[in-house]
Amino acid sequence: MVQPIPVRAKFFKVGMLQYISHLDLVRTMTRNLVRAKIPAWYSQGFNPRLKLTFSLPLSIGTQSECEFFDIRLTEPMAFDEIKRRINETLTDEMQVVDVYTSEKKFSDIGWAEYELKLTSPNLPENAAESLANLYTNPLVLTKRSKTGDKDVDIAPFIDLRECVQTAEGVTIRALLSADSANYLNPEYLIKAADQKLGIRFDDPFSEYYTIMRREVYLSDRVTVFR
Amino acid sequence: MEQLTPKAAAERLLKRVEKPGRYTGGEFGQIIKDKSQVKARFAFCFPDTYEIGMSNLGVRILYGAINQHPDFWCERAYAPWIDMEEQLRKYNIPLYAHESGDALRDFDFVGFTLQYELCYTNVLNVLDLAGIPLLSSQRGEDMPIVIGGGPCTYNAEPVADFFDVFSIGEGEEALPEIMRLYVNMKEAGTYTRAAFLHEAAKLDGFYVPSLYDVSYNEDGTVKAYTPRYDDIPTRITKRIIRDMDKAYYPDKFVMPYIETVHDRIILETYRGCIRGCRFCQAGMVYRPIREKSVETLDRQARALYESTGYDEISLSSLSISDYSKIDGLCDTLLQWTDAAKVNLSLPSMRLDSFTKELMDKISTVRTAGLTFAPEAGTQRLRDAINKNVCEEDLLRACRVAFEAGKNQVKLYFMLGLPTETDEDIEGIAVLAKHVVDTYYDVYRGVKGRKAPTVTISVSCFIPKPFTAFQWEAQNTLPRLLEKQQYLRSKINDPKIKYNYHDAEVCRLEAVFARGDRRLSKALALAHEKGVRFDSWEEFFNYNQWMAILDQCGLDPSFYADREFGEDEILPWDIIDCGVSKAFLLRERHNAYQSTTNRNCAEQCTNCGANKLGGERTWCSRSL
Repeated sequence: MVQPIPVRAKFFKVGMLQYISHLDLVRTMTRNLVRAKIPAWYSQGFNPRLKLTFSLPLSIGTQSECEFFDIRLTEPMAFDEIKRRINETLTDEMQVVDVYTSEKKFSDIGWAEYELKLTSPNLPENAAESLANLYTNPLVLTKRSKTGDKDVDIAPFIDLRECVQTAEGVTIRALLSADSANYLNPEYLIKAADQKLGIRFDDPFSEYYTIMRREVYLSDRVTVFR
Repeated sequence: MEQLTPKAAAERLLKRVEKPGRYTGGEFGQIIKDKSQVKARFAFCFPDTYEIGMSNLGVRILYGAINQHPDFWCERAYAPWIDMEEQLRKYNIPLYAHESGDALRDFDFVGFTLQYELCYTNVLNVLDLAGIPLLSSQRGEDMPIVIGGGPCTYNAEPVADFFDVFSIGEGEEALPEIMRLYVNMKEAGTYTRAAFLHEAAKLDGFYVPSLYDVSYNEDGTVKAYTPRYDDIPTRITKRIIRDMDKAYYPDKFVMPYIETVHDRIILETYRGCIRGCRFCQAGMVYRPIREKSVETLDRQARALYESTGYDEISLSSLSISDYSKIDGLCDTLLQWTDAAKVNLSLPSMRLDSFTKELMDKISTVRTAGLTFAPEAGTQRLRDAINKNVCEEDLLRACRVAFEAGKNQVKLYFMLGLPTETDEDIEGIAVLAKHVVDTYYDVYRGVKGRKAPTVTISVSCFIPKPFTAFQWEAQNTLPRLLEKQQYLRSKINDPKIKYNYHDAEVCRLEAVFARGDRRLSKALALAHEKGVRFDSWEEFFNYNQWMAILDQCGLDPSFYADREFGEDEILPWDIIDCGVSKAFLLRERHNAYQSTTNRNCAEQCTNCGANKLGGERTWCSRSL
């Protein structure tokens, strides 16, 4: 048998699909690949499984423009053809934008860039300034982990790039640590705003926020991961 | 608040609820149409959670059957879980359909599938959340037609006040027909609710409860059903699809993102059942048997595999091994499923047909333990219920499973069956013990084998309409509880695991299964008190239900544990399911003699269902 050919797909997952969990995505994507008749490689053994690996899991409530999964092919297929076939099995809110031969491993990912849009008529005066201040100074929060709750200074995991006042509220652009040891969920920025500045999102129709993962970088924070 | 569709408004709430994927819609395979090109819109509601509703084959079939018509649009809706309900109520967002996100009350039809009696309070809650008046009599001209279907409509009297019309029997042809009537009357300008319902009542298989007056005798039994018009039938005969090869079957499914109960291809092989177990409603009301051909099934399976990508095909029917060409079907499918890495599963296997050859073909055996349903503990009682399996069958089937390396078997039984004695109950424990012994017999002298687990899962008998036992009294609640404990006392082997159903749930089910229209009042009151999700253990409140029935002046014993008179007019006599009352009576008396009857494949027992016709049926005298 020929050596399976590794292939990476980059896709977005936005809109209502932000409410589909990572586990559900993994399960349904397997079916999509079968439906798309991609000659995907299956693990060998008693119970063969389609080999499919995703990059950074996305938490519920976060949209993304740059998600990745890796598969292996049992026979060559043009990248454009793979993209076309997969996209036919998906809906508008999730589409593959690129298929290529990867050069980097998922474990090379160091940082992810997010855009957070806070919409509220009840933000404090100088909210953008206060938030920028908050995210660039020591910031101790209780972080949940498998081993229990811990007080952690999350400031080293935040690289704030922009924090501006808009007509609706505040827009934040930041790189957050995304390596497996120090993954920072963007929801912590919202949590910090609540705990330290009292910024609340109580009324879902006037006070709400959206989170979009825009880009993923290597640990140098400059080289775009692909 | 900005102007948002109900669904767009609900999206703002999704970070506050568990499993938000229940409410998003947007699945691959959902059908979106241009509203301006559509003449009638149908919201198909499953009155339970999304995970359960998405698994229902009937909904999948009817969704496709209606949407086949370019000018009809069928969408889906489900009962929101309580956390979402709280949010929807708090922000005054009406319940919406998943595809368009439009409010249910703006549809032409709102349809409910009634799969089990304990979903009735959910139906009312969904109507309420949709802003649709609960009572048919209170709905104005601008309100949707509320239509019910599914197994419970064989006696839908307890919910009669809440529905405008019921579709009796199979709906693939019937639902488009009533929608066409609606469109025609709208276009002709003759539509009013009253005129439409009168016309609908003349269509085959449609029951408009408000057009039939019910009177009662002094003892509370039904005196008469009186049609309000001369031109509507005095009894409503169920609809069937005559030729299953020509019936609509979906070639694609709406693909859920979140995990559902039956997340796989369901291939319906045939309708009806040849067996005639005397407690079983499904075995009667889906008669006559109508099979699909192997060619049709293979074609449908291939189409669904291509369009879904599922890795499992479940062959669905009431008793899969009774499909006349089961070996041929498995062999045909296995020609391609193995290479495609698709597993076959045969979920409803009778133990007398369970062979090593069949087991080797199917995947359920590879993955899970095995489940069989002897239903009763002694041969005498199994004969009385016409189960037609014997202990040797069970032990042989278990032996096959054990020899293949299985060490877990699950057995289904019922307590409280008519004519049951203590000996029959003890027989359940004895039978389970014999299964354990069989395991040790197979592995005699083999060291290091795991101990077997024999799980016995015991429910309570519920007398159901259109069965030979429809007249029987259910055991009283104290008696059922006593029997459950008696059985426990007879089980002394730790390898036998004993599970039993909540007898209180079974009793309430019996009340509604054989209930009449007066129960509508109790359902309305229950809804007022916030009762819903009765089929969920954490919400079921028996004492509250007893208080509600009492407050409405209704006696649960009248419905559940009273023996109905053989000459009594039954609340469901208004429906003709094909099988005749005379046949059911004969079978009732056969039960008392512990006399079994032949199955349809052996000999026609004149149940009467063959008057409905049907292709690829066992009936000898089909019209």
